Amino acid sequence: MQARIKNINAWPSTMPDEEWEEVATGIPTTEEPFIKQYVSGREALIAQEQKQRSDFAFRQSLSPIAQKACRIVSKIRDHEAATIWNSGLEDILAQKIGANVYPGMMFSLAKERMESTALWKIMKKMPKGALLHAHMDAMVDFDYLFGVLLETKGMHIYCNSALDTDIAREGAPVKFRFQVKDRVDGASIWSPEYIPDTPILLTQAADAFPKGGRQGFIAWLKDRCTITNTESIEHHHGVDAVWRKFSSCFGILNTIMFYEPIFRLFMRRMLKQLLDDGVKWVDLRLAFVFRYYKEGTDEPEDTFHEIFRVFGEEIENFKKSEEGKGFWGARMIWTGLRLLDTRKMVEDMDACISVKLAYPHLISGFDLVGQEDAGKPLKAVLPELFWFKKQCAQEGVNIPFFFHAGECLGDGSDTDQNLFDAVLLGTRRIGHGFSLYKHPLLIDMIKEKKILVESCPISNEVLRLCASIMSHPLPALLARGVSCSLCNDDPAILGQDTSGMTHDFWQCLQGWENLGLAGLGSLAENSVRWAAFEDESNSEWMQNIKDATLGSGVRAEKMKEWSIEWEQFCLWIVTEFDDDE
Amino acid sequence: MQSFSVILSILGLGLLHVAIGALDPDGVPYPDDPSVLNQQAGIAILKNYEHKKRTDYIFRQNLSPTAKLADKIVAQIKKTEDITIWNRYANSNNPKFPGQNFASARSTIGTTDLFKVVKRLPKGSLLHAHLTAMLPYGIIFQTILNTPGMVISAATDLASDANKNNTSINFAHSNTTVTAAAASIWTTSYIPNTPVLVTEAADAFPGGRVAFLAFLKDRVTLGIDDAEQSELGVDAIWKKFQGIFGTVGTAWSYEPLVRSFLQDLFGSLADDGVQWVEIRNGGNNGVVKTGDSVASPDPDYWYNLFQDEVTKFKATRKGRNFWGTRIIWTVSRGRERARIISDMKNALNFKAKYPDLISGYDLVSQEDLGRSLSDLTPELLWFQQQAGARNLTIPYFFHAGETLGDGNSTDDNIISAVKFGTRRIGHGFSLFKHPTLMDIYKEENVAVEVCLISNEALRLNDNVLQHPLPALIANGVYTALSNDDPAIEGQDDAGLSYDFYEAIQGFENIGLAGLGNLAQNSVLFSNFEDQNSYKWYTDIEEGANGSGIKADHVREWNKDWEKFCKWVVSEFGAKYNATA
Ligand SMILES: [Zn+2]
Ligand SMILES: [Zn+2]
Repeated sequence: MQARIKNINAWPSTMPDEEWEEVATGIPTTEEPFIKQYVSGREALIAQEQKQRSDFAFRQSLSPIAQKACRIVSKIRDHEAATIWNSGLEDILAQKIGANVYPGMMFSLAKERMESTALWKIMKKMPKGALLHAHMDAMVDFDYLFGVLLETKGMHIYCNSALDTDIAREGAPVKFRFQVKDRVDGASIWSPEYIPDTPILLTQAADAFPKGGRQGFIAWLKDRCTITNTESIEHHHGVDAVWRKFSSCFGILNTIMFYEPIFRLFMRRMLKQLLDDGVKWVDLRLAFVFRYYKEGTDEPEDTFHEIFRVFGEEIENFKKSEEGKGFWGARMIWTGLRLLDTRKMVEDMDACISVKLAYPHLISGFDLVGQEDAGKPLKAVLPELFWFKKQCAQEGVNIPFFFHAGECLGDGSDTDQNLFDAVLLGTRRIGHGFSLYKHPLLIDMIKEKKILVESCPISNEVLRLCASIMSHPLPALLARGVSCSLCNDDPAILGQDTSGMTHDFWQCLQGWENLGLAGLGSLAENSVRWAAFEDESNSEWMQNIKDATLGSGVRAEKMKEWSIEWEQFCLWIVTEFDDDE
Repeated sequence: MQSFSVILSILGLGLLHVAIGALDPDGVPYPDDPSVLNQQAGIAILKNYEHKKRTDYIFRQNLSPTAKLADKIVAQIKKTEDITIWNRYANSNNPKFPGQNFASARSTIGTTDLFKVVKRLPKGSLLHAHLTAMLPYGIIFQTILNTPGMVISAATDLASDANKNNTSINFAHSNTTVTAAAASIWTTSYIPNTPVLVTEAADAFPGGRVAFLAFLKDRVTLGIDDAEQSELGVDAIWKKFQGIFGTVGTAWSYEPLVRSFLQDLFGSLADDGVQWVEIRNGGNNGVVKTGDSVASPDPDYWYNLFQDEVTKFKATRKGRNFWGTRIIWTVSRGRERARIISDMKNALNFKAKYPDLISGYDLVSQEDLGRSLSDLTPELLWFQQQAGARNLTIPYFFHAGETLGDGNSTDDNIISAVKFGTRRIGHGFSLFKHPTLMDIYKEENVAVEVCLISNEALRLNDNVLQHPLPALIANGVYTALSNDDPAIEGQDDAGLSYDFYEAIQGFENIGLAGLGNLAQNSVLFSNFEDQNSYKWYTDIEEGANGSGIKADHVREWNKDWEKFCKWVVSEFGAKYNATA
């Protein structure tokens, strides 16, 4: 596209005034019948397209109050786009990072400003239903978690090499663990004399951190466990590079959070933040590649039964507590690592089944994780997956699949084709489905089979699948009628820095005219409709989702509860923000 | 969709109930177990079914054995180079990787076998490009430097870096002796807007002529820095982009230069295998005749000159197989009604005078900030009425949907465009979010001129992998590849090879056959001659089986394609060890 700026004046085209007056009378006004006809044809086309949207029915059934709330929110959105998200585009500002402010700018650059908007206040309050895609180890903000880590008696730090240089501190696999007896002697972990793998009392090591003591230590640890602001805008280094950092974060976190006292506090913080954010249910995912330690022991558990016992206990405790009133609960989708060899993968599946037998109400499904592009595609692990299915059948347990699939760029690559496998393997939902929009046939199948896409816009942006919310393909799926919900994936690592989903909701609302508050409402309602509240056979699952509020089970009940909250929320918007409508 | 439900019932969840046979020592089914094979077969059926919907399905079905082999060889080349050149799977922060942004990958691309293949591919037509941003500026500024009497001036002195980067710079021809400037343009004592001989300014530039040329080129191109600061956003890069056209417009205003540029331009298109080009260009073409210093008052002068040069080029050896060129008249969409109408009147007058040269009408400059097609409805309907009354065929070829929005007014332009009967749209970047519209574009044979590198340079996507082209192809929408503003946006070559390379490198689902189809589409959707909508539509439907210019050219392209595939096989078959 091009703009022509010419400074050649010898151009004979300027129409003389009298001629222009004559011509002007010939230009149709917008009231002419044929223009009206054109305009109405155009509107009809838009209306026809809107009918295909997945949120069409939801929009049709909005109450008058909800309709009014939607109009108000859209006005606020436009107003803030013009005022808060407008730096005036001075030439110099336009070429400077952070100074150029505009609607749809990168998440990490927009985060602080967004949290001060009226739109934020509204999104924060919105009833968000269920969070369907979140990796538990990346759920609790690090300010809190590292605070707990430092306050927990007996925590030690160790590493397989000295952390004496910037380079070592940048990449070495630092770990933490509880020790019954404090280990305070031995060379500092920050010195070249450090003896590899010697646990050092954490409080002592943190205070001795060479760059700023305890505070410097926390800052450093945060850097190691998050995609930093710099990393999140350096998109040109590509997907694989950011995934290397991303994967390394989990290794560290897994040595912090699975010591019982920390784990319990972690659970409480997470559940409280979720509920405060309007999230009433969460289907967590977790990869069981860590060791769990009971309070006061430095010997790990042999199995994962104990952590599930505590997991269940904390959920029940929270629901009974004053601050947890109204919380619906949580379950776990067991995730194996996609790069494991056959034996390890089968052992992991076996462990999953054994926990399912002990805690059937806590395990809701099975999934594989790790970077899709770098790991094995689903088609390479079919033998293992079939074994798993058969084993479940023999043990009489029901563990459906909730696969990550299509979390990739590209078109026709192995990762992209995981979408085919996921669908054929009977997945109940798809994590990400970022590349799904390029597959019209699969889209039709997914609709037919009532598979929901768990969309994670901020995660996709920070992990470099799209440059900003504006280039995320979710609108294309919604336009096709695919049912989707919004999720936050790994909020502690990716920068949302809280367990809640408000950032993701906000980004979508601001990004796309076609969505609006009604569209968001539909996404939230979907999350309730597709949550894995309880074990259901395939046909029950399908039926209950089809029946929605008209059904008789837990799902219908929760959906009804959600729509009451939605109405209250819309009413709140109208009372709070209606100025002159 | 009948067969679709059949497939569903074949595949359904029933698949999971296929009995599992013998197990390996771990108790896991063997990879050739019926349960596993069944799943794999299911996927093959599904993929095949999905491919039937693709725009390139029929083209693929009709590939000759040689073309099929060539397609395989090229897939092998891509796979190999993904690893040897682009370090796929390398576990390190390597500077090169598949899906690297074009600006930083460009120098590597030129060294690959895949690029050699693509370079040679018969490209058919270039359907979307803006005249003053086509020929690389290296050639342009060198020619200016070599042309006696060319002067440079600037709105401020060009002493500081800030002024060097931001001040508007103009070129002109002077027919009087320009006295040596009192003060160099590169010093603070330069008097703004004083013309200085280009040769003199070049010699006085710190670093001399070579550095001078490099500076100028840098001023008018988007570079790696721009590509790697996508966080600054679309509007910011458009500010820089728009600013460039002022300067380069003045470089295209002196007759001997324009003539020389046009020959260079057509020559480099022919070198790249492009046989036809539809150039978008504004109507206000003043030109300074040879030896003069003010623009000729004759409004026809530029058009005659242009036609002259096309004829001249076709008579050269290089131009033998060149089919020709037409111009799509463009106007800036920012203008108010009176100026648009006045421009439209001009367009109609010139169309009457140069019916073969003027092909269609379009509006340009940043869609997000200009008037929407919907807002322009009265003008656009008026134009169609007038053209009808004067019996002129001047259809629309709108820019539409060059935006990230979903449901904003720019996005809505793709709706208006098709309602106005546009024959193609430029970009259609946001079209993939509109299922109903995609169906309409398909039914009405409206093609999308896709500009991969342009969209990346102007920050709609970060790299080719994020481009929505695959979604359009998967939905059966006709698309052709174009390069938009290759002199500015980094291709630095008037041809289409870099854009073709990006498409095949980015997407497994395209491959050589897919590229071939995109090239063939460009011929199918060329506006070779004035046609009413019915004839336009049926010519596209009939393709090589029709009669007339279009069918002739499609057949010619088909022949070239076969020859090309043969060449691929003989050149790379052994090296990449592929057999039929
Ligand atoms: Zn263009
Ligand atoms: Zn995930």
